[in-house]
Amino acid sequence: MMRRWLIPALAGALMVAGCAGPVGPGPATPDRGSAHAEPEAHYRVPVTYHRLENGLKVVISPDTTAPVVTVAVYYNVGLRTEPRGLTGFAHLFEHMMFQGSANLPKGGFDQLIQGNGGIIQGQTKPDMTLYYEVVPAHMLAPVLWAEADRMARLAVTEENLDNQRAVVKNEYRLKIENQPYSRFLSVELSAAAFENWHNGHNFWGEMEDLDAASVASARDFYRTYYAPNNAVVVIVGDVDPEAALALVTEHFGELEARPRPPMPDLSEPRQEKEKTGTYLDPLAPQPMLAFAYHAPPPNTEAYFAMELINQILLQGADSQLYERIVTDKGYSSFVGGGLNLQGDLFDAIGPVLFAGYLIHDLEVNPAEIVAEIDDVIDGLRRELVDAETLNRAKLKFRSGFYEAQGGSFGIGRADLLAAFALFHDDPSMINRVEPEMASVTPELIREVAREYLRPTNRTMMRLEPGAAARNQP
Amino acid sequence: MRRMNIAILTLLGLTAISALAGEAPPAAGAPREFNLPEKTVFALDNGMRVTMVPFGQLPKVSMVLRVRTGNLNEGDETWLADLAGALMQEGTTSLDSKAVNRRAAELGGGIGVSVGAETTSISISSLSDKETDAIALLADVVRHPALPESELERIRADFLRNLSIARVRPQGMAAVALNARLYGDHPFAAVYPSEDQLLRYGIDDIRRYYGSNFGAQRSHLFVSGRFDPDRMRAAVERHFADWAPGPEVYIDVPQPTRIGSLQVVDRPGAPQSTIVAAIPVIGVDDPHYSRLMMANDILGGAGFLSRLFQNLREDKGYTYGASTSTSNNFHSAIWRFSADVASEATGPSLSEFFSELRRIKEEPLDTAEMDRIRGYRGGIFVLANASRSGIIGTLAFMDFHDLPDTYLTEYLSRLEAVTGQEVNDMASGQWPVTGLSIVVVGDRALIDPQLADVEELAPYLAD
Repeated sequence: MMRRWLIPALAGALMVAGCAGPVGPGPATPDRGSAHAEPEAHYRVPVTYHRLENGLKVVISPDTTAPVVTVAVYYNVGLRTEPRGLTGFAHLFEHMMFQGSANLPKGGFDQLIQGNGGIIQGQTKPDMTLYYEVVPAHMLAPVLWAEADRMARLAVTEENLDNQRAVVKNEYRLKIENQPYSRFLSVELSAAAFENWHNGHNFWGEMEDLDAASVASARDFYRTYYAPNNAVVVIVGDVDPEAALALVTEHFGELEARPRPPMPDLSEPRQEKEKTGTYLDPLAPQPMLAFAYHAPPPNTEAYFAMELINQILLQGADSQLYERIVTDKGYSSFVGGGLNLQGDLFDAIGPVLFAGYLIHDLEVNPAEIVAEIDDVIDGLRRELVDAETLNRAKLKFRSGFYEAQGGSFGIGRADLLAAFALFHDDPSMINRVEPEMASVTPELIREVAREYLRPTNRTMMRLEPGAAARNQP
Repeated sequence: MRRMNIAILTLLGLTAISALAGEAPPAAGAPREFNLPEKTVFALDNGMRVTMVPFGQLPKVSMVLRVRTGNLNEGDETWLADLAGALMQEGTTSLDSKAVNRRAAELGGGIGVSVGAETTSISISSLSDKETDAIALLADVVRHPALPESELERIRADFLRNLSIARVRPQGMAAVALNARLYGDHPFAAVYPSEDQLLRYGIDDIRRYYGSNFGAQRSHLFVSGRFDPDRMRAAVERHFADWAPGPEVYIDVPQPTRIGSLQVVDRPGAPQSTIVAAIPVIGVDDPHYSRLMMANDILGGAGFLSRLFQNLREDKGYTYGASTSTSNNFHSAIWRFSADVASEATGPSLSEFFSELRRIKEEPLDTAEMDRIRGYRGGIFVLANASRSGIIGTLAFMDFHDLPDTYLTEYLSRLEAVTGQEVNDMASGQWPVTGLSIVVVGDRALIDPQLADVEELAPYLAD
């Protein structure tokens, strides 16, 4: 889901379909009819929504075109929630969810799901921790049973915790420490842009904090956040909604609700002065420039407008910053970035950033590049966007939104439904996104640009290439 | 027109779980039938082939034109194909690059040119009501690229910048050492060009490469998604029928080495060692390929289920991931093991790798373990062929390797038939330790003493 970012949210016990031979991952919706789609037809997703007596939210979205089902269990706890002194814990704990439960000792979950034709994924994001399986449809009951077992009866041992602590450290080395540009984008930029510690701390965890994590802290975290009333179960695929709901009730209905503590205060002060900073990357051979603006609160009218601004400025080779920075000026081969630094458009409820970045040559003065970026952005703040540009942005969004819904075997649809249920108690929002986006006006775009693309709302960071000398011929 | 309609009935009931305590999982339901979507295949008079698969519910269409040219066709002009591919995205004789990109966005997707070792793919994904316009744009980009000299210096500067970054990534460093060793004089030996090479290529070189490698005979268009087949076929004929046949497919099969070696690439201060071990093996067109697949999945190709993942990650904690895979080029396949491991675990990780290799060659296989692999592949088979891009990937792969439809229809039954003894034999025959080309990229000060303790590496450390 994090296609826009070089560094996605922390992917935990990751296992996507193996790709040796002819297979390749993709969405799952075969259709025998092949009827031609009506032009501009608004694609609607079937949604049923229930809440069990213990507070567990249940979303079911049938799709009978392939004998496949996605089961997604999302918990309302994420990277921002972890306390000081235990950085990296939310992610480490996600790994522990694959280490065994009362009826499925370590290895049993993997064998049950993968050994019967499924794929497994876990991921920790700023405001949520998610788990899903995609399996042949007849496997629905065993999968729900296994998910309920680890929601109710997780078995955390010293040995398994030590093992996964080592795995997580290796994940950090692989994805961050041993790669150029990674720490700058996935740690340093948010640390500089956010004022609130919860939003801007190192989500990967400091090594000493990872070492301090104990079995007791894992049990405490589990009891606090992994309760049915703090979760949603989403089922997408070839199922009968009533029978599926009965299965969820059978396996999860007996679990006890538990009170959850209030969320930490995640609010950010209004930024009134531009921030700048530099970071020395010992592995990078070329400089990088990155900017981040505080974005409007998620799922407000202004947030939808901000996404269209993102489409206009950053997404695709037709975007304004691409044309200026890449095509006209030749400063870089790309301008990356997007709305919501550590996730996707709808998977956050706390403060998010609109950010962009590019790699340029040592000989180019970054001030020249910043001047070009400013010029492009000032245009959006000064003038009303023209109809052609706005329509293209809406069309790009719509096309990408379809792609997201169909993406990765139904996971894309489950992901959207889970976020809407978890954060807004309303999964049917999935069918209101298109009209919301269509109703954004040029006036709103300019208003949002004026408030949120203020230079004083920006953090501008430069990466200094520590490996430059060594790698120049 | 050729149609294929196959029911996959091999989705099994519940396979055995070795680790179970307390209550057993509830029974699974009855496995359901999966039908591969129907395809329509036809050829134009100029030799271009077309495969269309109406598919899915979302109002989108994916179109990929695969052309049989890539790094193989460069000779010793490494990345000339990549440079040509990048310039193909800089406009056509009638539309400049901004116009092409805006046009593609208006159709609902970007247009991309992706250069591989043996094929170049030009792709666009459009909304369903705009698919015939998308075909027109795709044809324009492929058939009439401007290849503008005015943009060459900018693209070259981008390539030089990106090359310097690729060269510092540990996985890139490992690939450079490995391919040079495996492929000798063949074009596949060079992963990256030198800066001097990149600086030398002129617009004439790029136009010559394009002119001598693109044409209808080398091309196959794949279309998948929601579209009207008649309108699509008419649009394809309108925009491609008068394309010149161009050159025939060029074939130059490499002979990768099976003489083992160890290369250690120093990366001072590296927190991990990047390990790759590779060897040529039988390819997908071999009648016994299913045995290799089964052996590979048991050892390292099936994620959590595989022995190397369980050993190196879930038991030892040496790594985030360890895996094995087979990559198929035309009539030439390479099998490889790869893992990024903590620096202090470099020697022990290699020892465990060799120990697992020994085990799969010598120890009798557990039937339940093989059943889990079959269960896994059955499910993955459905997932892989139940998406627009997945279907295109499968059909393009079969087309490239000249595989008959039975490759798909018998894919699962062949896996079903593999015996434990055949797995042992395949592992022994295909993966001799003395034939492995091994590369380790890491901090030599830390890892050299560890490598000296690994018995299987002794022949390479004699001096």
